[in-house]
Amino acid sequence: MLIMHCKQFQINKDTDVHSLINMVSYFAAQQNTSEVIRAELVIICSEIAYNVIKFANQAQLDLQLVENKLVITCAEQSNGFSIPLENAFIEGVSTAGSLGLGMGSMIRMCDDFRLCTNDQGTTIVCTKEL
Amino acid sequence: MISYDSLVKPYSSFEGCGDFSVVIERSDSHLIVVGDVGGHGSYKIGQVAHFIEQLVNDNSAADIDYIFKSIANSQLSEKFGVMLFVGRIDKRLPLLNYICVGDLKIKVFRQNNWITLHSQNGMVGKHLPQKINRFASKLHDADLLSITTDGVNRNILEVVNKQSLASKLTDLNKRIMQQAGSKSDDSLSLLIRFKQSNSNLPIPNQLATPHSTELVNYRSADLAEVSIKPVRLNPLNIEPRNIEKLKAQHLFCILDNDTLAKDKIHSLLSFLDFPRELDLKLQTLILELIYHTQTGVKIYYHNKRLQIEFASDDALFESCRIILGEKHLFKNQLDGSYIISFLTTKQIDAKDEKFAQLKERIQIGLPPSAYKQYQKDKQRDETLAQQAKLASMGEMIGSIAHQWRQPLNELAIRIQTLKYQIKQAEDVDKLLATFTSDNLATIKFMSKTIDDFRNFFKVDKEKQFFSLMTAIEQVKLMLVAQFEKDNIRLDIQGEDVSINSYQSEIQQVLLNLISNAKDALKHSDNPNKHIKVVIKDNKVLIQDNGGGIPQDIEAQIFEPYYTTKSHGEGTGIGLYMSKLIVENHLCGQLTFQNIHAGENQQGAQFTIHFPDDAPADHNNPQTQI
Repeated sequence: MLIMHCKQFQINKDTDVHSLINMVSYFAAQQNTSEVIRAELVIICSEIAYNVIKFANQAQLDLQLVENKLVITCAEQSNGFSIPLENAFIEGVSTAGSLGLGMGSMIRMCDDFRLCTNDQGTTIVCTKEL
Repeated sequence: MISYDSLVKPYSSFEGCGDFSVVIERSDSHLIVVGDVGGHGSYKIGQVAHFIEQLVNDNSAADIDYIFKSIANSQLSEKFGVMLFVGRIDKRLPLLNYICVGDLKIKVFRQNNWITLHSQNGMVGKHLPQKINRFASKLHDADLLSITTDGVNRNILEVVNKQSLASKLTDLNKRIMQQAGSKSDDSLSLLIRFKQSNSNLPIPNQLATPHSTELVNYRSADLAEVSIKPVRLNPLNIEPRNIEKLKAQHLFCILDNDTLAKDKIHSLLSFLDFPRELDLKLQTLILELIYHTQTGVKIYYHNKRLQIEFASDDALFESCRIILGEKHLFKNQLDGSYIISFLTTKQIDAKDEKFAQLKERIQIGLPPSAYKQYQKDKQRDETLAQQAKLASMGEMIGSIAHQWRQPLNELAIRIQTLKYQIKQAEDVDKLLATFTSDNLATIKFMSKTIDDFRNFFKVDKEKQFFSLMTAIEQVKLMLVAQFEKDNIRLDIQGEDVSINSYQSEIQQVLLNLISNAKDALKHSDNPNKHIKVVIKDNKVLIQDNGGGIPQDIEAQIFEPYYTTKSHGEGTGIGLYMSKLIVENHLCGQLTFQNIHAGENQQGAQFTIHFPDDAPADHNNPQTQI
């Protein structure tokens, strides 16, 4: 299995998100991915990163290219989810005053999605085939 | 959509089997619980498993955190220990949310590969991990989810192959149990086949009317290879419909920026049996409305109709439309306010006791635990108020008896001596006229005493202007006979002032404070027993020279049932009630201090502080008559 470790990001402010999006977009273009896949990758990464800014203040985000899949791993060490996990993905539910549509969309766009959370932090692993 | 099969192979009998599974389909999800109670082959173990199954069935609507904690906190779990999986597959999103503690194997067969899902070491009830992990994992169409207890003691990969996975779940489970089921333990295998259906795709709003958006199909050469065809939604410009607002008397509460707003909304919606999803959406929406609007959000309820009113702009209204759809959104044409309206299934009468309690709790702004204490305190205060009133009445009856004793003696003496006076009188007519007028004056005095006491117990419903000096004089009149008997002088000093307050309640407080001063002086050796009532600015000071109150009990004098009088002489609630009346009803303050009451004399001073809006006019006192 070929693994190429691409990049590590520290996310703790809005400009970090822009850097991340630019990097992902550039990387996807280099891999000759379609426009749609590229757009979905940007949405997934920005959704994860903005949720970090809103709820966790900071996190480490890893991008790894494993064979033909981009694996996005995000780990933060704050208080985890403040509401029951199964409620967090319902459309329309938000604890940050938004529409609450981002998480569900992100999960549908990912090829694989895993999450582990407790009161000391959350780790998310998203996989997207390029 | 899921199809599933669960197969249990007990060690000895089903009644003694500690392995169990529960799969419950709800309107929005599938709840899945698999457990392995510590031990096997015992009726008690079977009973524990059955108890947990029942617990799950009773709480199937709750979130998995709650279900897990309920099982973990039960005494039976603590006694026996349980390995436990609690999970939920949402029908709208292809996602498995779960908590798993213990040696349960969770695997997913997907695209010819087995994937092991995470769990945590430990045992519910005995060795619970310090931090409980909650997991989420996306499911794919045709995924086969396998959950087995430790009684299935061979790797499932060795037992099933790609060909057998295509067979029926029941046949697959039989094969697993035959080849991998333990002979020395209970075994359980739960197989779930997940099928992605249209319900797993995002539905913007089940409540939306079909004509609210126009669907535009979009294709391009780039997208030909992608299986999902994106569509663009162009919302039409539809004016919200008009609705008549519920009346002001049906206002339930007003929500503005407060930390308990979420609890208040959830309490009301769960009381009205709103579905969980709608409850959560409305919580989110209302919190956003509160944040963005200056005037707060008003909630009305009457006759099965719930209305949420807010004043806002079109952008915020558009957010509401996206989340809730057209069906529940309206605008009142008269005042331009926006209204979210729902028809509830539950009919609640405005006089319903639980509904009234909920309304009171939300309006006061108390969490449920604090509200229970509030109700207890309120009940206690009502009881105390009743006792205080009865105690006052008892004292008053004693005072009436005391005040009537002398006039009744006078009447008796005059009647008895009339016979002799007539014999000696030169002018009988004049004698009889004097006899009549004197007795009528005495009877009039006795009648006035009754009126005074009756007025005293009348409850003032509204504030009124009255002369403070006159009110104090009336209290003095009630006690004058007792003061003379105990040789106590009562003076009223200061300039009269007219105040806007509750006269009878102020007189109750004055009566209590002056009576306390009198009782302190009654047994005193002081030859100049003296009570002063002084009107000063917006205060009334009641001073005595009865020796003051010892420092070690000063802090307790306002506590209910605290008294220094002997049994039968005092109830200990007079000062407590006086403080309650002054602070809660009159919005003032009642304070105490020991004072120098003359040469080598100590005394007590109680001060009633009226609020600033109470006094009216020092120069133009009005009388009460």
